[in-house]
Amino acid sequence: MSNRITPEIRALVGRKHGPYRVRVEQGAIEKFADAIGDDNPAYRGIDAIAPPTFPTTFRPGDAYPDLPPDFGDVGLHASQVYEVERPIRAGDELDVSFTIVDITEKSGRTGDLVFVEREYEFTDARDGSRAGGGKWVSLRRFRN
Amino acid sequence: MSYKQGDALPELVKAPVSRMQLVKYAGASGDFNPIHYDDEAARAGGLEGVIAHGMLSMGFLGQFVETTFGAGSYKRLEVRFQGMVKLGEVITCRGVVTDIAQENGREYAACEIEAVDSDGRVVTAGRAQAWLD
Repeated sequence: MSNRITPEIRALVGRKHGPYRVRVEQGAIEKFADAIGDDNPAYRGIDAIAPPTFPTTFRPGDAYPDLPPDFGDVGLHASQVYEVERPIRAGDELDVSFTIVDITEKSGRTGDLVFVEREYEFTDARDGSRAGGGKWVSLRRFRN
Repeated sequence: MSYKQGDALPELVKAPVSRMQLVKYAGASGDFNPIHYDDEAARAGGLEGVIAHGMLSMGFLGQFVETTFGAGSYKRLEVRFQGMVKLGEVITCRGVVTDIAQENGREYAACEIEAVDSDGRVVTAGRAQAWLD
């Protein structure tokens, strides 16, 4: 196995990003449900709740800790977890943060794979209670 | 509808995945990775052509869970992206109840779930938990 994980890459483990605040908007929920092709009325209107995977819209911006952009030939999504303490709703303000918890390497059929595992937390900005969280594992593929 | 351990969930069959859907999903989700709408960018990354966002197939599974157990019922979703979804694929979501459990006095269903493509190949699979009340 080659060693893609240099000390500089390894140093990303433990890096935290955020918290950054997001406001959950009715229109964003509706567009998200539309894109999935989900016409459930619960995801529409002023009292809309968000579909389960809506937190993927809580984008961290450009300056978050990550592998260098040119690291590997293509970036892909390996696995994802979302969990909630209660439904996310239009009007919610959430403080979102994530931490890189691990970086691992595997030799795949088509080349080396490097995985970055991040854990999320979503906190209700009004009372500090936990709204939910998750895990995001991405990978970079090196072609042989 | 009440569920018990071992019950199969009613399948959800999605419309074929189109480039328009991927463009809409890119805009709605904020994931503008060009491998999801630009064939040239996808080929540069070693793919045959554009592939759907993995998160779109997870979105289908989210729809499946909340169609089955009710909007707002989802507690946890956990998936692995195992296969790529190409344009025109018809994705079917299916699952089975593996346990009925309790947390803080509330009952929830634990399920194994998967999204399969037109050839029956599993593209995204994992587990879901949904409140039953």
